[in-house]
Amino acid sequence: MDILRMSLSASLIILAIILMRKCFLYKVSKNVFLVLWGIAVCRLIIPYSISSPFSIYNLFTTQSAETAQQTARIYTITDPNTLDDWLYSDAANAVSNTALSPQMIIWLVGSLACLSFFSIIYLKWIFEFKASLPLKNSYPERWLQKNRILRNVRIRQSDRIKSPLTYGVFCPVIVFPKTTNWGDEETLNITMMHEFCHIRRFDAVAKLVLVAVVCLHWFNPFVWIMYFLASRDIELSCDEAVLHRLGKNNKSNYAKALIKLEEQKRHLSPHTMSFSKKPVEERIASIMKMKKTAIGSILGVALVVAITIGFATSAYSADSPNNINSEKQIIEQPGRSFTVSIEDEHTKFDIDMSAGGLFIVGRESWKAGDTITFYISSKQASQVWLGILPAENMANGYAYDDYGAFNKQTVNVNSNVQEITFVIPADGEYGIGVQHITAEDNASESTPRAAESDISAGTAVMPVTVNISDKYHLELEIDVLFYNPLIPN
Amino acid sequence: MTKLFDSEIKVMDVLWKEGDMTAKRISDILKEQIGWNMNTTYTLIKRCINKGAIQRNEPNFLCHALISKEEVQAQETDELLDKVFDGSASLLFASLLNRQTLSDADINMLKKIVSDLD
Repeated sequence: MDILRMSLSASLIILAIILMRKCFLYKVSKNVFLVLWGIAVCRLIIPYSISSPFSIYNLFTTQSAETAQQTARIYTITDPNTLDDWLYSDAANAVSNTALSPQMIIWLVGSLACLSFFSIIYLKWIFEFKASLPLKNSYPERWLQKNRILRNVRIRQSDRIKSPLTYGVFCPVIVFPKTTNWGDEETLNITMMHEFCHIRRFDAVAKLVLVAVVCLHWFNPFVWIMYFLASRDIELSCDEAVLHRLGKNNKSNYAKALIKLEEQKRHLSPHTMSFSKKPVEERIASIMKMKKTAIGSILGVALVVAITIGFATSAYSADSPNNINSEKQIIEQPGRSFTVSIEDEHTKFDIDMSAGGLFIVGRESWKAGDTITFYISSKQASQVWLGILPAENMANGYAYDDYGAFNKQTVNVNSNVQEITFVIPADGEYGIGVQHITAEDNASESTPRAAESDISAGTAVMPVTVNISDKYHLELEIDVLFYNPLIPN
Repeated sequence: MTKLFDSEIKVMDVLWKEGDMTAKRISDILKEQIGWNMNTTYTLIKRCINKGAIQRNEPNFLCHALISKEEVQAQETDELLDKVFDGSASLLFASLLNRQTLSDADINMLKKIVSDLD
C-alpha cells in the first residue's frame, strides 16, 4: 500500500525535525521549522520523489536490497489449475486482488472516522463563531480602519470562547472573547497584530492541510506529533513576525500581554491549565530568547538543506523503483512463482509452476499488426500451449474478469531457445499465457471449442503424462516491454 | 433553566421587545441587525426551545418567550456575584459606585433606590 510506504518514509523526516526542534528551537527563526514541516507534509502527500545519492534511505536499500526484492510484492490469487478453470470459472472466484484488501478497508474506515471527527468539531465551532455578536466603536474596529488588506476583515465578540481567534479564509473574522478588557489598548493592539499576521499568511489554510494529512495518515503517531508541533510553530512564527514589527524593546510587553490573556483563560476554565501550560511556556520562552544572529540564520539554512537532501529525497540506487529497466521482481502465487525482469526492451519471465499448470500475466495495449516474438526454452522437454489472449476487462496485475479466446500455438519446448511470433489481430489489451500440456489436456483438445482460434500447426510430440505435483520450470522472454506486472496496483 | 448564551439572549431580546412573532420574522430582524443568516438564527431559536426559553406555536413557527428579561437579568447578576464578588452584593455595589463611567443621573438614581429600600 503506497500510503503506508509514504507514511513510513516521512516518519524519519518528522523524527529528524522533532530532534532538530528540540535542539535549535530558540536558536533559529521559527520560519525554518515551518519550511521543514512543509517538506514533511509534501513527503506525506506527494507519492513521487526525487532520488539523491545523499539520501538517508540509501542506508536501508543497500542493506536490505535482497530482502526488499523478495518481499516486494506477494500476490495471492485463487489457483485454478488449468486454462479451463480460468476460462469458465466464476469471475468472482478468479478475481481477488482487485477487491479492497482488509488493510485498505481498515485505512479507509480510520480516515473517514478521523475526517468526521474533525468535521463535526469544526462545524460546531464555526456555528458558534457565526453566532457571535458584532462589536461597535471598539479599539479593534478603529485598529482595522488603519490597517486594511484586500479581504474584508470583521471583528466580533463571543461568550463561547476563552481567547481571541480568527476564522475564515476569504472573509476572515477575528472573534474576541466577551471577557476581553476593552480598555487595555496595548494588549488589544498586540492581539490584533498577531491575528492579522495569521490572516495575511493564510494560516487557516495551513491548518486545514495539516488536518487533511492527519486524516490520511491517522495510523502514524509521528504525523499526530507533527500536527501538534506544527500548530504551535505557526503561533511561534506569528509571534516572531509581530515582534519584528514592534521592535526588540517590546519583547517583555508582548510576553506580558500573552500572560495576561492566558490568566484570563485560566480564570475561566481551570481544567485546561495542565494541557495548555507547555505551549504557552514555550511561546513566552521563545519570545524572550528571540534574537537575530548570523549564526542562527546560517544554522537555519543548514537545517533546511540537510532535511531536504537527506530525508526528502529517496534512495539513489540501481534498485530504485524509478529505474524500471533494471527492476527484478519475484512474484509468488499458489502453484507458481516467477521472476520478472526487463532488459534491453525485452521482458523475461523465469517461471516455476506445477506440471500441468497455467501461467498468465496481463495486460498490455497492443495495436493490430504489432508482432510479439516469444523466446521459449526449458530444460524439461515438454509440450506447451503458448500465446496471447485478449483481455479487455482484465484487472491490473494478475487478476482476470473475463477474456477472450486463447490465441495459441502448440510448442515442443526443449533446452534450445525457440522463437514464436504472433501478430496482434486487432487493437486492444492482451495478456500472455503458457499452459503446460498433460496427456489429459491433449485428449480434451481433440474436440476444440468453437470460440478458440487455434493457429497452431499440428502436434508432433505426444505430451507426457505428468504427475500434478511435479515441478515444471520454463524460461520465457518477449521482445516488448511488459510493464503491467511491474506496476503496483 | 440552563444558562442562555449571549447569542441566544439576542434572539430573546427580539421577542422581549416586539412580542410573539414567527421564526421567519426574527430571522429577518436579526439579519438586518447583526447580519446572521437564516440558518444561524433558526439554530439559535431551536436551542432556546430546547432550553425552555421559547415556546413554539403553530402556525408558521410562532415563537413565544417563556422567560422574562428580568429573570435572565437576575440569573446573570447572580452569576456575576458568585464569580467575581464572592456572592456579596455590597461589593458589587461598591464597585459600581467606584466606576467613573457612572453619570450624575445614574448616581442619583442609585441613591434613590437605596433610600427607597430604607
